[in-house]
Amino acid sequence: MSVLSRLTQVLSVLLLVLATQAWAAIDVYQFKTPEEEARFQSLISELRCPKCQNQNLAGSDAGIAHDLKTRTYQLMKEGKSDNEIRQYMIDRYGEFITYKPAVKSSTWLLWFGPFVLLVLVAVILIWRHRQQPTVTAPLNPEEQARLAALLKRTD
Amino acid sequence: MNKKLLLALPLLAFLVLAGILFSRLGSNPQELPSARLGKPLPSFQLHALLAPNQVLTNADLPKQPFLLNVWASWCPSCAEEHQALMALSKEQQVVIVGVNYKDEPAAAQAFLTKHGGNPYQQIIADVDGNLGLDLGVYGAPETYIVDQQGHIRYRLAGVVAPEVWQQQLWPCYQAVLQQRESAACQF
Repeated sequence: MSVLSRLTQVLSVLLLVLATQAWAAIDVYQFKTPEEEARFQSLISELRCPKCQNQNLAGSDAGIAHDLKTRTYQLMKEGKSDNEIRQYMIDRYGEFITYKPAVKSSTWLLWFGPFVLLVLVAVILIWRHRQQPTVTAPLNPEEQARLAALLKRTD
Repeated sequence: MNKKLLLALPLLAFLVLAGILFSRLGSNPQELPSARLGKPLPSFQLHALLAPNQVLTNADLPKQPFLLNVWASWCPSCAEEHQALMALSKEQQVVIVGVNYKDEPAAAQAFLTKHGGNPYQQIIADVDGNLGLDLGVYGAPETYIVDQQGHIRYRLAGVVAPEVWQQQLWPCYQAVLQQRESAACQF
């Protein structure tokens, strides 16, 4: 292989490898135990970034996402429970901030809508099925012969 | 007859959905209703931007209705609304308290000088963004209408352009000045 083509080969591989590196700012938080870290990851995954269009805190680089991640970490360090942290965020940013909105009257449609729709469709399908006429009595031999003759003619 | 009614259901459902979606056309999907509406301003203890030795708390806020404007020198839209805020404050005697959000004091002061003045009665230096977080701020600029009792009645997440003042803020602000409830306010 010529030097040029070898060089091109190496360069291509290098570029491909570089392309897989993400140079996003990484927030670094210290945890005492893996359980603590898992808890943090779980919380920031279920909290929505208020400014982004459908990203959670874990997946967002936005300034506000960083602030809320840091605040979540601080609250954990202060000994707050998961529910207390969720409520803290909801108090400031509303139900929108959690990917698991509470089940209350204002969110019934969101939670139960799909099931209601499914049941409705099932009911309609069953009702339509019952509406279909029942199978008629089978033909006697005379009628069968007539049917065969008719069918032959239309060939 | 029954069958016709049932067949009309999908069309009906479509019309209802189309109606809902049509009504939402033009509204900004990024706008969030504030979770702090009707609640008092969060308590804070922060330095004044223009007098760094002075510590401001809720007791230092105006005892009358005012606008709370969240701004920063790094926010380009804040430059856009600065003129409008100056006009409101100087010509219409609207009391505006500024929250300088996650900013550097030097840069903030340079911003004011560059854009022709200070429309704020006071400026709270929220350097770490803690007050902003307690308010539910998710970007700059944001403007809140605060009533006589110190409760939040309106939250605007966006620029205070003259049309926005006329159509959104002023109707609520007027009601708040007259100490009455109004559908023009969000609370």
